Amino acid sequence: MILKVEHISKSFNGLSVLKDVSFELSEGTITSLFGENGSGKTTLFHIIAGFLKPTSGKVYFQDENLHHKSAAEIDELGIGRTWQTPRIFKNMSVQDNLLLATKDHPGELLLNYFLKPGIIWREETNRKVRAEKVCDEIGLAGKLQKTAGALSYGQQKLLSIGMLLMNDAELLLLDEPFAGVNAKMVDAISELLLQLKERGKTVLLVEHNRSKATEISYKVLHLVKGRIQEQEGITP
Amino acid sequence: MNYLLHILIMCEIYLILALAMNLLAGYSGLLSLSQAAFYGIGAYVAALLLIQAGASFTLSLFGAIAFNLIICLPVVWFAIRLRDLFFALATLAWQIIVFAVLYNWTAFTNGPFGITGIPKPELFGLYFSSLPVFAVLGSIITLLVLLFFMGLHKTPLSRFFQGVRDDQLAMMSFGKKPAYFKTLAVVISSGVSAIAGVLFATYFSYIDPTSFTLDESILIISIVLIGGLGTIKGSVAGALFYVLLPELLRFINIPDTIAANLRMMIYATVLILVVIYRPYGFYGKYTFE
Repeated sequence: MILKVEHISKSFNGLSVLKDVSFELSEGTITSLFGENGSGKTTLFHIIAGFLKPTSGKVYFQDENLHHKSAAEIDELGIGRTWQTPRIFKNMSVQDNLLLATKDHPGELLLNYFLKPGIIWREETNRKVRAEKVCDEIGLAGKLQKTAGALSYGQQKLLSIGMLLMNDAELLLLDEPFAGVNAKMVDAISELLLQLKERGKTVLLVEHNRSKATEISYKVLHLVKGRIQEQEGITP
Repeated sequence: MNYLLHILIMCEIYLILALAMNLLAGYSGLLSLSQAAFYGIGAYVAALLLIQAGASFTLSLFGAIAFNLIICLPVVWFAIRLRDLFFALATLAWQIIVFAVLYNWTAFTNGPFGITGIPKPELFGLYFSSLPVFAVLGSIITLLVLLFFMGLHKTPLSRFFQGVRDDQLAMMSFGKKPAYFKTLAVVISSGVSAIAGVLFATYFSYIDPTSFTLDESILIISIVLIGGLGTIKGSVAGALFYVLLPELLRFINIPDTIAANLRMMIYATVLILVVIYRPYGFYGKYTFE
């Protein structure tokens, strides 16, 4: 199991949002999480990604307890997330967005510009090549230099998934990837997710578009009033 | 000729300030209202080192930069803890505190009377006392600062600054630490502002706190907003616009009694028009929402 969520509960000022939520995700699968608005889906994502701490319960990623880890440390372990509204860097190019998402760039540290400038530029060149490949994979070929904010909403969602790939995320938490995009783009995104699954990536997606999400999912979870109900084996 | 050289030196000083401000506001999204404070601290530290300690120009320049790197720590703290308007308000408070210290700590700063007799720069046996040679020194220093920023904005580091500006939460979700990049931006910006302060102090040989007020900080922001946030070209255009426009207005035949005020009113009107019709300034790539 790549992810184990054990007895997670979360309350805000006495209001219980998640109640004893437990489930597991197998590596290389797509799982959909359904629920009404306010059922706690996004809160669960926040907890797994380290943006919120649970009131009780534990989350394990590849057998590592995430309880005391920050969002940055959890990202480092290999959990990446997207947001309901794509959180991309809108004033920057698609290429810069993809490069920003990469881990441990030597150019992040000021000291490296004095101690090992050669490594910075070598790494930058390598990552630019990789960004171009990822851009092709996510269906944004030829848009590398385009300003991210000028992309269509659906393309921005694709870009945010591409950024997770550049980030080497093993578990992708996707918050409503099909919301607000046209049918053609829904197909493009679902096709991309199936390709990622084939490459061994694990996807947990929160979605309102149940038919499409169910079509590509191995497992479906229903979150009802903060409690989870599980259905197995939708797609092998 | 001397008039033109004076204009050139003023352009240089404001270009350095604009570039430093642009790193904060344009690249990192930090709208600081305390740039004049760092400009002033740089000027005062250099003046005191030159006069009281008898230090060389080089030592005074680097001393002023080093001092600013340390004294900017409160603003670093604001940048880490506060966002958007709250950051701007905190820096406004810092600007007021610094001005109050410069104005009232008379033992060090001579208060409202200022510091006089600041020596002209001397470097490698060359004494930059006349206007033409000072303009050359100013040009060399400004060019170095310009090249520094052009280089900086070609590095991956600039991308991280812009990432912080565009979406801090997204940066965190990719494992980046916005606080680190904000710290770097504030430290570099305040260090560079000290250079403008040193040039100002040694050029006029006199400084007093009224040159480093909140008005000056707002002026520096206006230069960057007019020129355009997030580009070097914008800083250059903004500095030239600010220094040259009032000078060009001198050639309009305005009675002396109202000339100064009228010039500023015309400048302000142009500023309003730019903000309305060109919200990205002349060459901006980013605007505050």
